[in-house]
Amino acid sequence: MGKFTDVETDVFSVFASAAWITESISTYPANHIIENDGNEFIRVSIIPGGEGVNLHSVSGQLIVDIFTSAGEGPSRISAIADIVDSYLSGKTFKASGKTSQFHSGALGNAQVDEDNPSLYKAIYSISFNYFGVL
Amino acid sequence: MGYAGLVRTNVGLAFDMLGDLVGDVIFHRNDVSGFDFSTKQNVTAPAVSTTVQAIVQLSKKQSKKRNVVNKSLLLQTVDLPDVTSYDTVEISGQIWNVGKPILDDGYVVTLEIYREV
Repeated sequence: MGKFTDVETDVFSVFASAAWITESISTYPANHIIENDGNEFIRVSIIPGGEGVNLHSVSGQLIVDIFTSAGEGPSRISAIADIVDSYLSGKTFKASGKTSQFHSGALGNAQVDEDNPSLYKAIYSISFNYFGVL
Repeated sequence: MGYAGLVRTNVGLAFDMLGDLVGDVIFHRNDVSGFDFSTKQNVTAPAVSTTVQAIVQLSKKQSKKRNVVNKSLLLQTVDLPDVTSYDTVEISGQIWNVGKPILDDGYVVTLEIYREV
């Protein structure tokens, strides 16, 4: 597969894993219309927008939008971010047959969601490098 | 009959009075319950088709850069109370995609449908 599909495969392998499923955090990718869900879920967006070390490699950011109930403080956001971070930060994934290496996660931009004010939203982000082969 | 029932009845009467301005459209219902990260696919139930009466309001060109056309649909909530963006609409054999937002005041549903031409 190409580098963009490979990155997607590596990232999705995390959220398809049995360990992640037992976390019971509803998880959706970008461009999925989220319906009939409760007040707590995450949305995963892959942005492979940076250069790689060669033509078959790429770098970028994984953005995880974390949604929790508005008005209940920041603790649940932090807890979910820590859970996500424990699966990604410093980890290497090879589900694609190549290598995706994740660095250190960060959390920011926490605010009441503009589209749905009953939700509080924060953005967890982590940069990655995908190494293809020439 | 309460006020809600009264309004619902009168909405039905209004649709009846509009005669041939109201036509049959087919909704292909796609019930998406989640996303499977292992297959990279939506988790869907088999599609179900249902025919409802709707007012197709107008067709206009939406984009200056691409040939996108859209129509507005007005239908009774009682006929289809749970339209989603995963549904598609068939009008005269053409398939249209449902856009957002989907407005439902409890009596009538207003939605925009789109297709590339």
